[in-house]
Amino acid sequence: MIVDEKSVKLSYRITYAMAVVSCVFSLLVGMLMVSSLMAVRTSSPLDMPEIDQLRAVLKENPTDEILRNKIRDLDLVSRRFYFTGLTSLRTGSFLLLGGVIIMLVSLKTMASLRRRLPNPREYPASPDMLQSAATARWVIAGMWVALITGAVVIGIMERSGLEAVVPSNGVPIKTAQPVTMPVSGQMVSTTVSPAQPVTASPDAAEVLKNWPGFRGPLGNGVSAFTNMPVSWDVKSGRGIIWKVKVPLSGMSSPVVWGNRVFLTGASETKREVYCYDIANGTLLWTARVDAAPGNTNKVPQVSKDAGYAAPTPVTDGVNVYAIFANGDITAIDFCSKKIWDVDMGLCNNTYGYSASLAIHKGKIIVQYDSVDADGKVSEMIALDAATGKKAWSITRPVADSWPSPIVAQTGKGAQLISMANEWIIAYDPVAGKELWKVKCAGSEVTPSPIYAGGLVIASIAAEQVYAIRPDGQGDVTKSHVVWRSEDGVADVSSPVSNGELVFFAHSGGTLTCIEVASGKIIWDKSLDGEFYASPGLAGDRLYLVTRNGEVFIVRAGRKYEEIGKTSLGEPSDCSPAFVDGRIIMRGATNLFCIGNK
Amino acid sequence: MPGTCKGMQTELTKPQSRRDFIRGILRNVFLAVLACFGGTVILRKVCLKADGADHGKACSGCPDLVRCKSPYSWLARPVSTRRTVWQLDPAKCIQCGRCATNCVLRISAVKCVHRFEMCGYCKLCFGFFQPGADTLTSAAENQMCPTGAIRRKFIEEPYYEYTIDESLCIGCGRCVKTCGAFGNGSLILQVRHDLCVNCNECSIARNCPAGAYRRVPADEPYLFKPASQNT
Amino acid sequence: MRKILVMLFLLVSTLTCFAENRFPKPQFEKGYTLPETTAPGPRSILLESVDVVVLLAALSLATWLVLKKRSRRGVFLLTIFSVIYFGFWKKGCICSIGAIQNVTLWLFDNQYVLPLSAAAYFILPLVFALLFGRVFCAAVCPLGTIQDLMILFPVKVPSCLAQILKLIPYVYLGLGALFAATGTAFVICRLDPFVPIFRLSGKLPILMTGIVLLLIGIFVARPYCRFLCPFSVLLNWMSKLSKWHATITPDECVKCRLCEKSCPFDAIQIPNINQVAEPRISGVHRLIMLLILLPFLAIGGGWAGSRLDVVLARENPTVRLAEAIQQNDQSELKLMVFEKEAFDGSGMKKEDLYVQAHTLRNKFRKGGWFMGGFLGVVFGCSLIGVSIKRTRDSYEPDRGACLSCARCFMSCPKEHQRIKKLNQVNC
Repeated sequence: MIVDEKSVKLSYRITYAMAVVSCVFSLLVGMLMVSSLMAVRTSSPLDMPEIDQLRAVLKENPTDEILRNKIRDLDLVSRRFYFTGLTSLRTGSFLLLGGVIIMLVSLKTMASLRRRLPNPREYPASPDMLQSAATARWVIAGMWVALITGAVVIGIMERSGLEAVVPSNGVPIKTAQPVTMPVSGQMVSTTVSPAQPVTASPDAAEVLKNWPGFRGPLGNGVSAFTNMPVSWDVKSGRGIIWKVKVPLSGMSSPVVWGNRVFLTGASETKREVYCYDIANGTLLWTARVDAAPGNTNKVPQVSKDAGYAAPTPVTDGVNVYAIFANGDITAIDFCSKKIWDVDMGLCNNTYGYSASLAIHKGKIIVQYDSVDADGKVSEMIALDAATGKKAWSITRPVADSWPSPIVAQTGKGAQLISMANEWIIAYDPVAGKELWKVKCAGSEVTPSPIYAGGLVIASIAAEQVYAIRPDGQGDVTKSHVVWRSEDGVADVSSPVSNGELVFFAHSGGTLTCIEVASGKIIWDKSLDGEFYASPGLAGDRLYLVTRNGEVFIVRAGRKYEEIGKTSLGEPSDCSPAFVDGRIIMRGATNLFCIGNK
Repeated sequence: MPGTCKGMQTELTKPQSRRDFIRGILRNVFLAVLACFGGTVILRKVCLKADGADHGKACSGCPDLVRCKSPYSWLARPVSTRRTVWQLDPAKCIQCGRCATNCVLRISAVKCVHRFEMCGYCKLCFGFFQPGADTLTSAAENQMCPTGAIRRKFIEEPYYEYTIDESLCIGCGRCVKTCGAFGNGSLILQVRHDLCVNCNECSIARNCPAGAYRRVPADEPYLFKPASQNT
Repeated sequence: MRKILVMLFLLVSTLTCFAENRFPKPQFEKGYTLPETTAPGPRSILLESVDVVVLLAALSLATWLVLKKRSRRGVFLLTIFSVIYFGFWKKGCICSIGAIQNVTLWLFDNQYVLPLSAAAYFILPLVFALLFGRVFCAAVCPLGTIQDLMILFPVKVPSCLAQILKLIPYVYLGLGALFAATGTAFVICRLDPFVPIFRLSGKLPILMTGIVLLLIGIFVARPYCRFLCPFSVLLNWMSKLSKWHATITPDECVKCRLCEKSCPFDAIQIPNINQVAEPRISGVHRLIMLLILLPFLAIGGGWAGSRLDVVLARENPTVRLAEAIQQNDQSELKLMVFEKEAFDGSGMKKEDLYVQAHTLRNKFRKGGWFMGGFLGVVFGCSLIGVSIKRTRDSYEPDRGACLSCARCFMSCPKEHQRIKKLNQVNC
């Protein structure tokens, strides 16, 4: 025991000495570190006013060699000071850590050597619980009062200047999400077609930023963006942001809202709506469109060139609305949930139902033209976007047709313009009343009308182009047709116009430019390809897609000028969609997003 | 040992007190909550892939989740096993110099990086020389870099190669500013991941006036690409 | 003709592609190899999942050591491992305490992507606490363990002072969650006092706070854990409900008082069965009064918290920028020059910024109500807690405050008996 006690005493002394030494060492290192920290702070190379001053002086006297050397010396000294300071800080921190560890170890050993058995007899009597609980209550209550008072005093003191800081006048407090224009692409104001005023609805700017339906926000193939790519290469992937295979084929064109690209595809038995992420082409969801209530699952007779999913869907930013060749129309929300579906009945259509949907103020407009048989007549139908209930319908004295209706903002308000075999008819899209009509010839009417430069321009295949002033009443064939042109008649694809000039692409490969105001032909050009897809216009660039998937980019000007020619690498009959620097195109099998990454 | 036996017996036969009962119920509630949370997190990761396999059922990867009004949208809150690291977007960077002073490391983990493929190999490098330097030598009075971290090497008349000595670079971005303003912009600031300790809240990001910092996937940790390649 | 045009076009387009550079890349006469731009990767992509596995292993080991083995030595060794691994090697981030904010932000922001590791760091310690008590604090948390090693001469904190200090973590948690929920900042990470020590570098004030806390920790055991740590609030709740919590004695308590001073954290509750009791009626009376007071405390707290919206929102960079721009416009001041420059460059409208700032302030007002209400309930509950007398006939750890560090085990004579018996069996 005695020996033990001795050795314990000895080791206690040793650890004591170690603790003292390491403590002194750590303190010394700590002090040295403080001094090197000061060195680093004072010699920060970011803040060297002396050198800057000397440099300024040197600029005045560029021949002063002494000054030059002085700068060099000063620079060297300060940098050396700084970096050695940093190194010594680093070394110091390691040394300090070591010192502290040794100190801790020796102190712990000391403590364990001195450990004694606890002696409860020395412990004070346990305190009065009631007394301490009462004190605790007061203490907690006191702290609470102090906290509350502190918070209120600070809050009131700082609040005094609040109203001055954020003015409530003129600031739309309600809009939490500030609507910012796309930063990367210059928005062209809607003066692209001067006669087309922006729709009065509050989110007109939002609509313009997107591509909500067939042929874009205005139904005329014109984009509000100008920053579209002009060259890409599918093979090498240059300029292709993404390319994805579309599960089911279709002639419908892509539509875009925000980050989403919508597309439809169908086969004899299956009908699907796809939603892609515009950023990377991820298929966000697929919505199977089952037969709507009442549908007898009859397979429509369609031609190869129309297919089962020819009509392009339309979106209002809330839902996407899609119609298929079997007459089923459905509304699906942005998360793939079905909102409603309606069976319109099979359409007696020679090639298969193809008219895309239009949308106006919460109404989905369907041009449902069919051959007059089985008691079916051609109709223009408006469905309520929220419920799918019929808002209005009006029969039409026309046979089956393939153009899509458009809603144009004319000087006389919004007009729903449709064309079909024998009649070009405008309706009031709200009330569903006929406004004016123009008699035309033609048998198979396919291109859609456009509204440009104050005129409705309709290209009747195998006949002529009509330009109509949309301010008449009744049959205005004699009075309001401003000009007719037999040149440039497009037979499948729809025309596109910048307000001044209108361009027609014939399936035979001829591109014709006609002046909107006069109907005078400006130029025509034979291109190597067949045009089925409707051309698009972004800025002054005309995008024309041939059936083989060649893309001609032509300047929309008074002289023919080819800006570029490239290819999709696969056939395409679908019209491209344009949004902020990106073109979305559908080929026979793939969906492409073209633009700068 | 009779004592132990007795103790154990009392332990076993002691009736459950009311407090223990409540405690047990609460414990199970919390366990269920934590299990739901963990389950959601894991399920979200394991079951719902963003490759479209979830045919319209879930909203995983939905870009408009924020505006989604569905009461179930919280189920789709994103979770990632992908490790992310901090990086600054050179396209947003305004070279304020705070990268040099705000890093938690003694010398900032942000360094100037030279993209050689963009460099013009100029004799008069705007990133290297002080504006208006009269002689094009690497003397201290001519250099832009406060720490002399840019090395200038002659290749052939009139081209010079510039390399960054990262042990000296403190990430102040002075050379980046002038190179971007007058040169090709081949010098950019980047977080160097051999140095960055990947704080949960990046101290520089918090102080970055341009909001140029963001988390990027750890397998593509650099933002070298120029802002716009070709139009 | 067209082909020539196309080729010309292609040439022009490639030229324009290069012409973006003001100074085209030279064609070197001598062979010059283009140096590669170096891109050193993050130190270890795998580390994150390894960390989670190590965390799980360390928690399991700690549980086994505390509950089954009852070995202070084992806990101590694990403590050292945790300081080295989770502290000095992993350099702090991400830790369970900080993960609170990641989870909060995830709950409030649809777009925030929660790293799976953060979720694991948040959830694992809580699950373990719910089952086994605060074994995470005992030997795994790097912030706790580094302080644990500093405990040399623990003193008892006066109970009045401890009552106040114990409430600070709730305030800290409330503020931290509020800032995280509004997407403003991760204040708990920023003010983490020990991370600079693990990294051997950091912001000077925080580093000094860490050192001071460690020095205080020589006498006041684990001050951060007991009086600051926001995660301790959650662990405390979970541990109170724990199924298998560590006990001081492996057997029946003999009330020998030997363990009374063995806990450096004052977490041992002494038996109060012999104490003079208060008349029952006055106790019940007080309890009813306090229960009535509770909603008022909550409402008062909420109101006071909502008054702080302007002050707290100022922590948000957007709000700060909006205020600075406003003040710049009103006077000749030039505040936040760089932020202003970046804002002007972004093409955003001032009005939009003001609207954003306003929305954020409203969020803070709403959050302030919740935070204040929460604190009111906490204060009310702790008032009730000190007023309820629970009878204890033996020495027990306070389940909420006990860190399961295993220090008290060896002071129990029954524990010595158990070990002796174990050794006999082994022999």
